[in-house]
Amino acid sequence: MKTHIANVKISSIIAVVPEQYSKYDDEVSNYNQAVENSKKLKSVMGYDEHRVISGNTTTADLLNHGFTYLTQQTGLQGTDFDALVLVTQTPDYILPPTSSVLHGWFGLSEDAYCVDINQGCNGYIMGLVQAGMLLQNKDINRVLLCVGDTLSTRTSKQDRNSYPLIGDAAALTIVEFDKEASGFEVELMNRGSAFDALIIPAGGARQPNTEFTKIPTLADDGNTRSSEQLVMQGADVFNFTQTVVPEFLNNFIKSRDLNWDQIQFLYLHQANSFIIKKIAESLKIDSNKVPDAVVGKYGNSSSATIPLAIAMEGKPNNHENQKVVLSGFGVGLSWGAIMTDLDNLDFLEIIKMNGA
Amino acid sequence: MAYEDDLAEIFEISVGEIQDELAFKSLDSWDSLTLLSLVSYLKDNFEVVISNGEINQIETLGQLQELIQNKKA
Repeated sequence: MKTHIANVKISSIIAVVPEQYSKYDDEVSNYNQAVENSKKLKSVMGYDEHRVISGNTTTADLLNHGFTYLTQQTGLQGTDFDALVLVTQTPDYILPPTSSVLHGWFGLSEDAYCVDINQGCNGYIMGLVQAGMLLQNKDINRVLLCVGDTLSTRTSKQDRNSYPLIGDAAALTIVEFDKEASGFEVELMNRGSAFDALIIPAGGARQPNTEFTKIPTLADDGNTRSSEQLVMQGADVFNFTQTVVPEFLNNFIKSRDLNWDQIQFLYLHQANSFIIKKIAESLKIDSNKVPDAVVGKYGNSSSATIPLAIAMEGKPNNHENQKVVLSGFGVGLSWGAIMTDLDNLDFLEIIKMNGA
Repeated sequence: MAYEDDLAEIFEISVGEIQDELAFKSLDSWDSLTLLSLVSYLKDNFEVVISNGEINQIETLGQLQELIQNKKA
């Protein structure tokens, strides 16, 4: 899909990370691979520490913590939002929708629109597009976009392919109607034939959980995991990020008669710093414009990495009239980009949820 | 032969050990990072994109060579 969504803007972002973190160096002994090799992986991928929730904290809990803080800081309340869009792959329940749970907690009006979207790496883009489309309705002026995942609970600690990079986090973004705003330039892509490139095989209707799906098994790739845990076809996903994604992004820019010099920041989904550096190389864009530090500090929290990257980059007023491109890519496979003007934000911060 | 030198570097072994019958996935150095280095090397130097499925189906360097030839053809 290729479209322009007029008169919308991002006005605030708050990212929430759990207090608990884990250091890659302390995890090396969990893996089947030789310690020497795991150390090499650390420097190439940019692993250091990542946030992992403790106890039964859920994505919704992180969002609730962020919402409380956001309302305290901005004076907004639940009834000020006309819609709530939740993007997550770690919902509280199979049913009801977790957006319904949040609707209750946040105190939105009963006529507010609420929806859950099951998306990950490209989830921030999908969520912004959904928010932008809702804002074309004259009754909707302010949308609360909630994104995030707590995939550490669904990833094997003995899986060196995935565990070191996974991080738990959530983010709230306020998307508003503004007659002066340039809006979003959007492109979204899908390749459903590769749906199993990143997958949690068991736990849905296709393969319900049983006593057998819980059993950790040594896989061909040398990692130990169960069918209830995330499995990633590393080489396939890597190839996708190095062939399809750079070509897509170059076309995105060229077809709009722009070049990368005219873009202040390219905020890529923070898969890991290796993938981001390689994409930046392919695009021949100044690497200073392509932040890649999220995974080494917080981990990859799928739909929450782009807002985390924006929040890491600076203070709210650091973004004066910046033309930025945001791009997500991964599970689905789904990928996409939004170009927008990121002007001074009302609020931009990363907060920590104590006890989580 | 640049190809042998490059493979030796990727697998962290001596060039002399690069033989058609070498079961490269049994090497100490073989892990997901080595796999990515190999995938990245083949893409950059031969414009060949290999998948997890294809790597799973082969064992030796000879078979890898065959795979590259077939994909280039």
